[in-house]
Amino acid sequence: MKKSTVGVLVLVFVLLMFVPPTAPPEAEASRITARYGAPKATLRRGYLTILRRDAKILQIDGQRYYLQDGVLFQPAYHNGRLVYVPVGRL
Amino acid sequence: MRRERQKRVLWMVGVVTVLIGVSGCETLGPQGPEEVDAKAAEVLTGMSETIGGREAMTFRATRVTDRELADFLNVPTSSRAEVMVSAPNRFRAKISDPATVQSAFFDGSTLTLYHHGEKLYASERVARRSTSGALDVIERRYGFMPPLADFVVLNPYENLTRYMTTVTYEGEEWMGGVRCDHVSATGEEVDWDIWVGVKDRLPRRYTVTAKEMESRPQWRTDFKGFDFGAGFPEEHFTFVPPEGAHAIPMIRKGDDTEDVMRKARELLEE
Repeated sequence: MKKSTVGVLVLVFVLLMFVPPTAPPEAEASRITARYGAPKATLRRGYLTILRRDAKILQIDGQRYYLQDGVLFQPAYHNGRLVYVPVGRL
Repeated sequence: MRRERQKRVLWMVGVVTVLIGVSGCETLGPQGPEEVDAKAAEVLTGMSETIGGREAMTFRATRVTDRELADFLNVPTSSRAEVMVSAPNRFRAKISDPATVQSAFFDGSTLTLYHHGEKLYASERVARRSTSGALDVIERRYGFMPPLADFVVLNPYENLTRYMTTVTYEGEEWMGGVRCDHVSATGEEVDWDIWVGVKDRLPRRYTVTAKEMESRPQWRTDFKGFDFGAGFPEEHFTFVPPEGAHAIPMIRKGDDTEDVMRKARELLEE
């Protein structure tokens, strides 16, 4: 291989080393949103942030569940908040 | 002839590589503001040196959120926080609003969120040498940032300006009876303003404006009671579940909801 070819290949290699990782704009947007609070719309399908006082507490294998209107909810932290994830209908 | 073509191809590869590099630079994550005036930098540096990296720091904060924003974010319109920090990587905060009391503990290796009323907690291992490192992991993995996080890191200046484009000194103003330097910053989604005591370099008020919403609603956080006195025992930052408390999962960013539900159903069927 000619010296000039080797030179160009080395140059390409060096330049590639400096190519920074790209961050998709939506990823950055979500980071900003996370910093200032996730909008209600981002709460996933069916998650509740509050249950009625009459929701029944169930203890299954050491895990806590809540039963409200025939739907079983599992409590979990999501986006730093306590939410109730629907896990099925009883 | 062949050599000429070879050369041309190699040069094209070189040019394309340079272009990829340049475009990559443009889409790289935020590197901080493009414009910071000298006085604003001086004020923020002073504040950073005063509250950043303290072996022991406590403060209180009250936050008021405009109704439209509170409804949009599903958060209370008012809350207050008591924060304890021990550099380089421990913090504890208790956040109360009229309906709930929650706490966050980070002892350098485990993050715990605890809901006092429901007696439910979620603990996750997030071992990091610095609070900033731990917060980055929390943000990336769980998709949220604990409230006031920008003020408990080693370098608040860097954290506060990370997503902003310009930072400007607005002049001296009185805030809560204290003479303050007012600094404002503009970003793509939000703007913020901060008032820092001229003499003690402590933050007094921090206001974030959601400028993408028509009414430009705000969060206003007022700080008080900064104390850099006696240190804390290590166990102060470690969560010990109170009697009757139950562990619950912390859902990761990108976790499949169906997966969470399936696991719970399996548990129920056993």
